[in-house]
Amino acid sequence: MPKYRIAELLIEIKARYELTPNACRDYLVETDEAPDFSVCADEEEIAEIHASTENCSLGYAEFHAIFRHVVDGAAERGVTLFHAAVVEVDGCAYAFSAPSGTGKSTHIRLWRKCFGKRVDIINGDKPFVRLKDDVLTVYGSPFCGKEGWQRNASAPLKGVCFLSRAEENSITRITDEKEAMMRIFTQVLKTPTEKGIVETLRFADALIKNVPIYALECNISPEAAALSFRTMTGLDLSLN
Amino acid sequence: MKLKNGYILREVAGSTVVVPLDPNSTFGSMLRLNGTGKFLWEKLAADVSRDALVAALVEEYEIDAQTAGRDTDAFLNSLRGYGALEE
Repeated sequence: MPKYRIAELLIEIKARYELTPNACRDYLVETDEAPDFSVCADEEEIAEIHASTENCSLGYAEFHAIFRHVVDGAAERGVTLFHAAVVEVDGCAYAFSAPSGTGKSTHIRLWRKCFGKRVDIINGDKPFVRLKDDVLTVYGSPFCGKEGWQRNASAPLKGVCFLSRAEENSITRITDEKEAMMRIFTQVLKTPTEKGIVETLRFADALIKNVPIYALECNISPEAAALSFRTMTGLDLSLN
Repeated sequence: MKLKNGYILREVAGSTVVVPLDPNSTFGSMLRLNGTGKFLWEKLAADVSRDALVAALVEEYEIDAQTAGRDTDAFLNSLRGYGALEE
């Protein structure tokens, strides 16, 4: 059965349809090592997702069910799925989080456009974050948004930005810990086990204590990207 | 009365939060407790009467029985609303 290394976890994934191994191929490893855990989706789960989701093939339904199992298994092992678009600049990761449809992809596309190849996308929608010795590291995952932006890479998380749309651009550091907590909790998945929940709470705690968190109100102009880029990276690159 | 099983209490960045294990709930359904709330929550792990809770509050926080009674009733009512109490 194929094994994949995602966020330093060795995961055995058994799938019926081609979509899952295709989507996960960048993470495939050949090893005799015992996996950290194994996942598969049963027919009932696949049928349920297939029936309740519009324009959803059986293969995609299976991939989604497997995604949930991988998230649950990872959560128990201190690896949290964070709903965000993450870019890498000079070896550091910066995350943009917001409800789907707000404009996370649009904003990181602007970073690419304005600052060029120095900006590299790690994942457009669903990266993992591992907490180890108070350091949070972002990992790419095969689960990503409709753009398919994903890369098998990792980098230390150096900033998080909660994004919302506005006419005018502004960015403020969130210093209120309760506000930071409430925002984080809307963008992580709750897993069914006590261990998973406890680890997710540890992730939120470490994120608030160790990583600068911002609220960005922005439009889709290059100035919006310049503002978040300067504030989060501390770099002052000129716009392309 | 006492708390039902199936809740996790943890400190997150200076706040005390209670998260239900119920797989149908989200993190949006967590409770945030203040100091008094945390104190009472922990007492409610074992079967305890309303009056014993009031007495414990009076002793711990050196407040009068009337204030402690009011705080306890308000907290118990919010727990009832949350469905966390077994009576």
